[in-house]
Amino acid sequence: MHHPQTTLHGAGVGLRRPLLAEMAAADALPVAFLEVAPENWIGIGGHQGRQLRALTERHPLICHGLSLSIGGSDPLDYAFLGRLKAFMAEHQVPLYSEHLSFCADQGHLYDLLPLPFTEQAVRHTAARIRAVQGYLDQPIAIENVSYYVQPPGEMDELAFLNAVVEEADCLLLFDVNNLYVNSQNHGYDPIAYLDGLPFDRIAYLHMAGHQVEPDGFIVDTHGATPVDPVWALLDETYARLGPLPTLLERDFNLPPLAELLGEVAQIRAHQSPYEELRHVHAG
Amino acid sequence: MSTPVDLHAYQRDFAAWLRRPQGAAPMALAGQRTDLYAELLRNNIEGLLARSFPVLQQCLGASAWRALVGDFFAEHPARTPYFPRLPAEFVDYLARGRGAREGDPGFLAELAHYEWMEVALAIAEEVAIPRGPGLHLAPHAWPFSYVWPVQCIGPEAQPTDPPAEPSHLLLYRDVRGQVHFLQLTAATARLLGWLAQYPGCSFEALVGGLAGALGASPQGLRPGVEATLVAFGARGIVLLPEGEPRG
Repeated sequence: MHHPQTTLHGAGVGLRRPLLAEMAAADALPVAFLEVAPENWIGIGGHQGRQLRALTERHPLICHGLSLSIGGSDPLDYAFLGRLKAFMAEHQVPLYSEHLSFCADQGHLYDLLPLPFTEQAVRHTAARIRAVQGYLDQPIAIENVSYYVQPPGEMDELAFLNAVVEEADCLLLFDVNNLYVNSQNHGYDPIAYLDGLPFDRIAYLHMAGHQVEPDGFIVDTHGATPVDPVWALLDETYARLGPLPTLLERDFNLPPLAELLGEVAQIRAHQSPYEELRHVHAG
Repeated sequence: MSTPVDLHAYQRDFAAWLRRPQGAAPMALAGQRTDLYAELLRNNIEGLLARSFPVLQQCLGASAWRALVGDFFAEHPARTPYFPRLPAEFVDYLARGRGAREGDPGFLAELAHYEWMEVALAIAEEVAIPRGPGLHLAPHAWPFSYVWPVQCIGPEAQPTDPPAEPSHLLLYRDVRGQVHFLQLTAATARLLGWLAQYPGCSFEALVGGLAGALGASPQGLRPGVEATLVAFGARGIVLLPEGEPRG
């Protein structure tokens, strides 16, 4: 079993184009690491490419993929994986994560779609994760996604997640907001889910905001600041696991950089009471 | 509990429905929030394309633009995993997959191509500068000839017929990464086309080739070609050999 080997700790933020110029111009951002979707940056040169390089020379970068369709039926895109591997080497990226979902079928759909919670999907997806890990020659982390429909399956979400990461022998990117969104939308206890996660596989955490529809249904938009119950779930996670590296995701309605960095500081503030736990875990 | 779905059949059915979400949702998802996914995907695709085609969008108007993006999503199996490259798939669809359709402006495919080239050049990766003797078109100098006057088209200027003469345009990127635009004469376009076709050619070969193509004398062309090369060399559009352009 691969243990999370990243040297990351602290709080990071997702790098988005509207903030690129401001972030690249800053001498040193008060963030422990940055994260990008490699599909937004591979093959990008010119001014933007130089700005990215300037940032990755000063801050560790992790890759959080969107297009691999790890649970999909189309063949794995090894041309993409080859360029991903080169991109990770170029920017010294220690970790690549993807979503437990599919996003293509006879062509890309450019969004994350839910897998059925079935034995067949476990076997199929785990085999593909293993193939990717073999190709990249390192473990990858798989994220629990929010889902708004659920095709008939044999197991629940938690059993499915556990079965996939166990059979794939991969890491887990635990998205705290997605747990909240799914537990609300599908009516289950988030604490019981949290207690059922494979703790020793969790590489890092995601924090994000969401949007509540008029009928109470929650959509995982990454367009707002995280809400109090999600911060509470983050505390529950830290209490069990110590202050794992945590990334703030914000994709839409981007606030001014200072405000976003304030939210990163808020993550650090939530981490600090658990710092002693980190040393216990590390020891 | 109902029978578990087959993974591959479920993905095929759901993906096919998401591309054309007008009909009934797949049986496995009946009564669920499939419309939410249809809306999320559509907004996503529109968002990815809108930034690259502002003029085209304005020319078509909101509803025709939405319909066009819907057609693209329904009909074009997009292969690129890279989000910034999705506009290239759209341009390809307009130029090849879509075919001529009633209601489409004649300039549709060319305007889309031109708008995308501006973006594509701004983000193009660095390319090793060719070295050695002879003349080269710079890697980030892209000449194009369009049937339609794409550089003049806008919501208030939408030609219904192409003009008699094509538009010869050059997009180039300077050392700071800034993209510039030049309108070329037919003769200058031919000069750049020659350099693109025969990288590393000598000054004399260029003059001779152009003279043959234009039915002019090399002596008459030489001063104009030299002046053009010096001007384009200064802007980094043409890479000159060390010293004089005559090399």
